[in-house]
Amino acid sequence: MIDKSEKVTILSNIPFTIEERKVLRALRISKINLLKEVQEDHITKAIKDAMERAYSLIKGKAGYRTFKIKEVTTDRVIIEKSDQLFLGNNMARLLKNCDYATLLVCTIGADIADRVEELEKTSLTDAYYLDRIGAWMADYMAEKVGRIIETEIMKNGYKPTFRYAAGYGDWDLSAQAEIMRLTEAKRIGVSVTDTFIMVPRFSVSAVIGWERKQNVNIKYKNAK
Amino acid sequence: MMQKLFHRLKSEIMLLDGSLGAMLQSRGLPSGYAPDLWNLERPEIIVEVHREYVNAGSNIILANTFGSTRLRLAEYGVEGRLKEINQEAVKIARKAAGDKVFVAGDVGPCGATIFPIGELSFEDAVDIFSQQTEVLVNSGCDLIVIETMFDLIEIRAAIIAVRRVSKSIPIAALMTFTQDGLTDTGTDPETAAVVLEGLGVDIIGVNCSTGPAEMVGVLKKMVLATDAYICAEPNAGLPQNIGGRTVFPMSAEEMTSYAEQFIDVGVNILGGCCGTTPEYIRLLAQKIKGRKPALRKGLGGLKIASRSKTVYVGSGFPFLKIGEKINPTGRKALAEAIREGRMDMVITEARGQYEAGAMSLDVNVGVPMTDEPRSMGRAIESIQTVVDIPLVIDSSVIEAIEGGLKVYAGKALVNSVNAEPERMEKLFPIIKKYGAAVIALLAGHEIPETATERLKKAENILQQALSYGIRREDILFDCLALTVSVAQEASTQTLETIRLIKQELGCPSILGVSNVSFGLPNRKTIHNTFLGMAIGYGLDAAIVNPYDLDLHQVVSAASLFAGRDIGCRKYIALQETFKVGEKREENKEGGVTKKEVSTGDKIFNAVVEGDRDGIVAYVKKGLEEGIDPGEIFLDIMTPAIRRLGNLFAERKKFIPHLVASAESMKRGVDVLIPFLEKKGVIEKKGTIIMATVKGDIHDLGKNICCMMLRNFGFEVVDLGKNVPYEEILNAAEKYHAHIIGLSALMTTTMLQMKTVRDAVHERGLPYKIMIGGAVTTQRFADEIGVDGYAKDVGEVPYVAERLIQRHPSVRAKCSLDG
Repeated sequence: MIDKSEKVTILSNIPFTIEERKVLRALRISKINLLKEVQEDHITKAIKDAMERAYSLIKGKAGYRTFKIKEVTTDRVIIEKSDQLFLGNNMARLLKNCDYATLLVCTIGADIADRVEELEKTSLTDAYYLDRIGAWMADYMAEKVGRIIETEIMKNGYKPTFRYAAGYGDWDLSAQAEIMRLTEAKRIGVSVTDTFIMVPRFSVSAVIGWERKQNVNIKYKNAK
Repeated sequence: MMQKLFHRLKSEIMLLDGSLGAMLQSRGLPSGYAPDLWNLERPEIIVEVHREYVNAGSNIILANTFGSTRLRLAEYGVEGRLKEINQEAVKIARKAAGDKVFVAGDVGPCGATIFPIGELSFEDAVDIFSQQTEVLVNSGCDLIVIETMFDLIEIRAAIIAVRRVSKSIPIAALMTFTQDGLTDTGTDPETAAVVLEGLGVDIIGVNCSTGPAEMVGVLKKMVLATDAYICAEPNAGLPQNIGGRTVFPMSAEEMTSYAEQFIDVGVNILGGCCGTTPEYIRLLAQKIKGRKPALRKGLGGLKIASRSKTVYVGSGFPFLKIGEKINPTGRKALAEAIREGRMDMVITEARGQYEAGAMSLDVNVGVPMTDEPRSMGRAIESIQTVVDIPLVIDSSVIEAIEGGLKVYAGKALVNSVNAEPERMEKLFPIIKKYGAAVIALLAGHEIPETATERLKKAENILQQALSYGIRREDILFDCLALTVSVAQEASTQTLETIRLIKQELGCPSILGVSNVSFGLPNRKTIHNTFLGMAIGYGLDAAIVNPYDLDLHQVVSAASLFAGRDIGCRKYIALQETFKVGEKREENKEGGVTKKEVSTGDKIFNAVVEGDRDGIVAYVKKGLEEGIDPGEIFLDIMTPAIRRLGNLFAERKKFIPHLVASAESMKRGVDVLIPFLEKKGVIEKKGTIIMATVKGDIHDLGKNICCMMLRNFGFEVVDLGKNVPYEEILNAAEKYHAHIIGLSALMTTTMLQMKTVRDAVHERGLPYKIMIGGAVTTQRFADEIGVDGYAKDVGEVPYVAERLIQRHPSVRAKCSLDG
């Protein structure tokens, strides 16, 4: 059920799989789903090497925290711990039917970004392939942890909103600093620069709202 | 009481109670208040609710202790009252139950996620559960129900805690599955059943999360893997939040209409979870009245599992190939990595073997003078995040085995115990505690020579294992493959032992086959032949080198004869995988494909195909053959990269191809440069200043663009990342640039592009400006008034070529040239 203490949940060693199909999409190779369908052996091998390299570099971690929403105005959503976090008309629209909001930060760690930088000195191709895999896998972690949160939301009878991130629409990227503070992101090794870029760079932050269901036909009502 | 419970479970379907929380809320429990505290504050209400369930027909009621671990109580600041809360709960439940209804101590999640996924250590979790269950057991509950668990490691900690407190109290272990049929941590029902059965729980089941329809589906999978009693507690449908209240949509009639399906699946205990009330239980009681549990038989034999995958071992199941390569013996680099605490090589080896077809991995991290228990723990943590096949924990050090078992989320196979009493005495309790399976070496201080003697060892080990409560199905006998060049007769005895173990004990067997060929040439043929023979004798598993392609063929072929591949499907599938690649050569697009390929064609192909390794040799060979360096650059490489550009435009090649080809060309050009400079062949098309704008700290994409532009004959000055606009303008002036190329990845930094553009215009400077990068668009480029926009790296050289034609100096030159 809903964690009333609003404490941060930390997940580490998140299991993962790097799917060929997804990697090919991340590399913007369309039409094919398997590496063996790539015609050029050199490219197949380089992508495969990058995937295997990524397996030993990715360390999936996440932190999330759920807040009770106190008030929603036209351009601001206020929670107990902050009235400066959820700003903007889009955010107010997103969370207007929500009782709670979960903030999430996840990362695949710094090793993969460091390795990309190293590889840039010797091979831009290898660096590029690993970089794309890193970017995809950061999203993958967010998706994976997002699903855990969404399950929790549904268990409580709510509907999850879509994941929404700072920097999109009118939710200013400067919100990142507050997101990091509230999720205690330093516990998973994530911080932001002065220009609000997350470090390690293969990290993702987002909010998911707990939306009240509307117009549901209930045959039998009883509170849990 | 225990015997009474099991006796009844054999002959009748028993009823649990329904939701307690909802009942308490309807009697005034405030939202957000700890229900468990009412054991002390409002005991009369708790007893009243219990009585309602007893009157409705419940045979087992759960004491009000779901959240009574110290971590959960600490959320309300009442952890100091743990003992009295749990004691009173059992007392109250007993008061309502009388002597005909069983009282279960209810144990929910402890309140934190456990390492390695969470931060709470396994030992602390066991301690937290022990503290609660000790009070529950001592207060006289008849069984413990552990429920609503989604993490195998947490439920295992709870089970171990109960067994620490009592060796005999019945345990029901219930996990919660989401609508996709998995737990939150990705465990499927079959694997949950295998792991829980391995831990020796008496009743396995499912509660919460979903309604009855979804739960029946989960149970159907679960019963395939276990003969344990089955329990189900569905919610009254999926919850809905209506007007700030959580409500469950299924009526009692609707939910209990699934009773028949639960009975058909084979449940022994039925109850209700969230949203159910005594009314639901009353209807369930009517539906199951006089019904007997369905007869069922799960798939027997040895099962091992990761967090999310189960592997069956034994006759009729696929032969189990266990990868042997995570072992530092004789491998200096791996040993050094383990010594330094680095797990990258272990992960690479795990992935490599997995990709090569290993169905399980043996993990041995025994490096002298290291902390092996710690290394084993770290290796298991790392490996289980990147592969989903079951692991074999291999060590001579008992503490290292336990170090691995603590963090392993599935049912591991331990390698190994032998017939030495001391080893059995130390290892069997650990195997039992963590619910693992074990490889048993048929040797003590010496290896018995004959098959009959080895069988005696097996019988001895089996008897000992059974006395520790380890199940016969959880032992895999290693029949010992000895070196054939030293003792030829020994191999015959090994094969005979395999036969005897199966015939006399009905147990599966395993071998490590690599040893058999020591000292002889062409070792692979020897141990693969022996493996094929052993499979014929009934061998079920082997620890092997999965990188050996012949091994897979031998196992596959031998499995046909051993009845392990019905319909020859696996054999045929394997042959298909060996054909991969044969057709690819015929289908290549873009390169020169005639049979006799000249060096020039090879260079062309190396650029088109992105052969970064081959091109340097081809270019050198071309120079040796006397091909003019200018011809290589202008007539071979440049058309090749343009050909690739065309294929990219036709969407036959993609960005990864462009990048690899650009790098191939760069490597080739690097060989040519000294010759080209000497001859003065290359005239630069123009100078471009490239920079990632201020505030942006990533520039990989821009670096690739620089490479592309150089390949297309531009002089490129790369200023790097996070570059202020003044620096860009200064560089443009200094190098007499024609074009400024800007990259940005962030919405916050892209406005820097406008700053540069405005400065160029205000000062009347002649530079053309082109932009690109993840967040930029043609529309943005138009809005800020720059000259060109490249949507990807493939467009960059063409945009630059277009802009250079429009540059005042180039136009002036053209007009002068006439």
